[in-house]
Amino acid sequence: MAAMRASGRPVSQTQAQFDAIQARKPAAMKRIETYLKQHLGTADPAVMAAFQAVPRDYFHYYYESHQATPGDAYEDTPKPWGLGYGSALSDYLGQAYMTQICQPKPTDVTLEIGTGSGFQSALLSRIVAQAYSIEIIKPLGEAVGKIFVPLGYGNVHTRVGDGYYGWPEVAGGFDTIIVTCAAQYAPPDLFKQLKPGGRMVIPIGQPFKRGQVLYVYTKDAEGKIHSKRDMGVFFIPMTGAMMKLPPPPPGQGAIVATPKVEQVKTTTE
Amino acid sequence: MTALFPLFLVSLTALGCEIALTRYFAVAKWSEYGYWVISIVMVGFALSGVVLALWRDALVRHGNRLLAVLPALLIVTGALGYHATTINPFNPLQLQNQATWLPQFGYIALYYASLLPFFFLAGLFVSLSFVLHPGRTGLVYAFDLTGAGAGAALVLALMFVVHPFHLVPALLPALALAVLFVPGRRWVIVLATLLALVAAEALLLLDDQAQFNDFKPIYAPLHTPDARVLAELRSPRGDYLLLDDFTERVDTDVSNDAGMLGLPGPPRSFGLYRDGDRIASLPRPGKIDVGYAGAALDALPYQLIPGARVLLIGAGGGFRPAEALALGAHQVTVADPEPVLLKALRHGLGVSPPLAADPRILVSAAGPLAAVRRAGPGGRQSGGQQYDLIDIAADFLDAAEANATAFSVEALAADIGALTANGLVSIPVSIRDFPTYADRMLATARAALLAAGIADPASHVVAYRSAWNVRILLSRVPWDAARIRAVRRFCDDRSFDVSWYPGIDVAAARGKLYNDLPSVSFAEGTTESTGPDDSIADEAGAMLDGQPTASRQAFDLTPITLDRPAFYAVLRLDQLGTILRRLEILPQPEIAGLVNLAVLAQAVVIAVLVLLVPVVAPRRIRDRAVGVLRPIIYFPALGLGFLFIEIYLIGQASLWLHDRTSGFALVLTGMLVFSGLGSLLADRMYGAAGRAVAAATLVAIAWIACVLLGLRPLMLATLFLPWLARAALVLGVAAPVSLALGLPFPLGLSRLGRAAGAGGAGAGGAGAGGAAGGGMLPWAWALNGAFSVVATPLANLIAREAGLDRVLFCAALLYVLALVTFPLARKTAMWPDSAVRSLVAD
Repeated sequence: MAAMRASGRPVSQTQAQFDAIQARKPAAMKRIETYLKQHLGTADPAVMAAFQAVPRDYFHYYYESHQATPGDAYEDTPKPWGLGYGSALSDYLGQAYMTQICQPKPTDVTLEIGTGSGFQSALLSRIVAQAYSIEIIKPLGEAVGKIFVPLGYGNVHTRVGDGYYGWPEVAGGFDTIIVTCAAQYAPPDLFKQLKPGGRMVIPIGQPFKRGQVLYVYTKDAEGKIHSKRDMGVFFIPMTGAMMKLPPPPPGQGAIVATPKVEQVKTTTE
Repeated sequence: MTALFPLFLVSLTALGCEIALTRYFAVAKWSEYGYWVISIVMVGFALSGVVLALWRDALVRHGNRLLAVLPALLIVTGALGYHATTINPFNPLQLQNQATWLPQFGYIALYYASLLPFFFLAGLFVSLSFVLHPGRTGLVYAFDLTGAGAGAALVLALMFVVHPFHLVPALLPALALAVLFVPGRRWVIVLATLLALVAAEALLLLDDQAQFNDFKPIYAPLHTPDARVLAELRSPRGDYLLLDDFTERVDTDVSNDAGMLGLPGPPRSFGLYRDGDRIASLPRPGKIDVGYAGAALDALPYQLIPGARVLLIGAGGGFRPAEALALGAHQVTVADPEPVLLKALRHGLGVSPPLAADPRILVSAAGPLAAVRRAGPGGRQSGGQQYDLIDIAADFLDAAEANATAFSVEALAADIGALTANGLVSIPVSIRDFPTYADRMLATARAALLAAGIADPASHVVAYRSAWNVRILLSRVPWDAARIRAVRRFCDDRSFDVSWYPGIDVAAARGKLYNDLPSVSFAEGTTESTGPDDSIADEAGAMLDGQPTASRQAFDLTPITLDRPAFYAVLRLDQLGTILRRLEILPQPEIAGLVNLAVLAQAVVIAVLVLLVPVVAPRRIRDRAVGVLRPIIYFPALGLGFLFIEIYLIGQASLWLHDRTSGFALVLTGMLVFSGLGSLLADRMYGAAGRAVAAATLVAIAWIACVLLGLRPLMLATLFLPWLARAALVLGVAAPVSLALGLPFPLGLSRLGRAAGAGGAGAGGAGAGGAAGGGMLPWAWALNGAFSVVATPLANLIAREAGLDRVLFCAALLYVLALVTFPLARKTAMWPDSAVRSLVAD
């Protein structure tokens, strides 16, 4: 609760409520382990440890109305939860799958396009050296950018920006990039920022619908790109929509009155 | 006659609102869910008939008063229903997610609860009008149908000026007008109706909740900071928005190695959206930057044929012709039948500039079939010019529903016929959702090559791909070794893979795949591959040889034809259990088939319930004069038959006009108006009703035979005519059968109305007590409505599974069935004209 307050998201919760939420966590962990073994043959201990370490209930928050929803965490039937601004927190099985398929290592530097709730980057940060994340939705990105320090996750770096161009200021590039892409191609700039031997994971599909398709790109030593379409599993990653600002009135060419920021193509987590 | 003017206006508004609501669903949600609107309308109509059948006496006793207050009630229920519809949080995506789908069923139920009252009351108004005018069923039906036809025409005209979200409030004033012509009106009722209208408009306009669903493609870009709507165009084809926001880029499939090739990525662009779906990238002001073109998947045929004469099917917003020239094309003919895209090409759109004038580029509004039929042997193109390359744009398929015809056997065979000796046809297929669409396209290519007289299709095909898309190249001559080497080099340089070329060693090719595409079991949802794999390569040879494959077992991969033009229809509906288990991975366009099935199942249940009404209330329904058996077949057969013909004609008109919307509008309006005129004749034929129905049936059967034999050749021969000429031809084809189809329903009703009238309800019906069995007429109306609910999804199902021609064939059978079950007085000859005359005289 202190961390919640420090992150600017006060929550009122009794000890009994907190205990009830935590009591569901072991069963959720078991589900994750079973799911990963079923779909990937093994549950990576590093991924399991990260899930154990990160308090998922801390990330259940409806930003649009400033409402904490930790009581939803570790649900029996894993599903997506709204964050406001059309964005959502993915179900934990999908996030576990995504994390493991990234094959994160302690020396890695990762980039996530679409911070969302911040949970995916928080997970990665428990495994890798540095975790970068870009969010398109300004109020969401700004709010979520404040939640890592209270947890002591100093290796998570966030910003609001255009993920199409990646984060070119990070010297040396990235070992892993997780991105959603609405177009028929993966952004070329992201390939440039991918280290040789690195991998880029792109879930393709529509938000709230199960069964998105994963594309996993790898860069070989020559710099050529190889892809794999991962159709073997169906999970529930989420793609958040853009912020719910009032749309321009039809036909009037109105401009949304928000400060111009560099933005990503779409957002996910 | 004036007494029936309110009926005209109520029918006008009811059908107008029906179309307006399908537009609402298409824009705010997804068009697939518009089926539900049609279902709700017909359920409302059927329910009104049942209610009137069961409580006929009471309702007829207060008939005129009811007719006077119904317009006000319709305004109130219409406004409340539409408002409730716009705030319904139904999310079609959550319906495909087992963790979130349950609440969605509740939201669908809420749609019914919201909209049913309006259509129930509209149906009550119509059925009450029939009951109150038992001797004038033909006239009543004529007002009903012509009102509906006028409603269709009005709402389509409104779509040019009114946003789709505001069509319903624009239609409601017609109901207020209706009250002025209702017999026995009181000023209190007129005032109340006007107050209801003011309140309704205030609710809908001041508390307008309609908006794009969060997950429509337009939602995100529209809500990015600094997003601007640069232009808006309204038309029955859709609501077009040109957006400027930072997410808009040319949406082409470029190599992941573009950087290594020294080529830039696709540039920024504007985005053109129709009904919230992105249909094209349009260029920003200045010179079009197509530096990426050499890295794009579709560049290969230009490298194979330097200096090609090209027919581009789909302009890609103007980028494709610029790409073609940049890739060395000598001359480019661009065919883009989408009127707004064509306007953008010729004149620009908003600040997006038109295509720069270039003598090498010719822009045409022709559809894909018309464009290619002008070329080729015996074609109309001047000088009989043929093309070195016919290149279909990757975004052409989804730019308009009718564009799927470009991917049909007939169109591709015509393409092949229009090629020069070494020419190529280049066909795009997206494999983002389902790789099996490439399999179906290969099966279609095989059929097209065979139709073009090529005996060994497999040696005339190359298929290559990225991770996202496949390009299938068809050649008039077999692929030779030099060209195949060029294909492989092109792909190797760009990390693309060749999935098929004549002589390919699929096993060896797996060893050097850039884009691993594992084989996945649709039934089990598990990967079947054990190593790097190309699931398209695995089956391409068998597909091109017409052999069985695993994909053929899992999916319906029969070739796309003009008779079955739907591209997104690969699900085998006979494997419904598997489909429902895999619901979560189905592409959105495939959902239409499932929604259609759900609506059909629900419609059948409703139809059975309506059929059972005489069992529940035998004294109110049974008619000793005609019995129950004949009406129980006759009216459903009419309901089914009429709509089967209508849906067949809409399908054909969509091809003829190369536009689904105008095809739908013309056929619907034309059939309703001509049928209305036909039903006017019915009033003069009560004395020879049997013979009139027989004649109408004969006309319908003869028309069906002619259409089955001659319509498609006529359409293909006239595709090049101006739109107005083709529209006139559509109406000319629809008119004779529609006139004939206007007769059987009112003539059938007249038998029942006559029986009821003979039992006690006099002409006009007001204040007359009904006899036992007087509910037969409204029940017949309910039957017609209930089976109209069944007809739409059933015809769609038959068209999807067996083709449009089969729909028409079924219609012929239904009209024969109707003829032999025409309601006759018992123990009479087949055509008891003398008895009819005496009863009518009574």
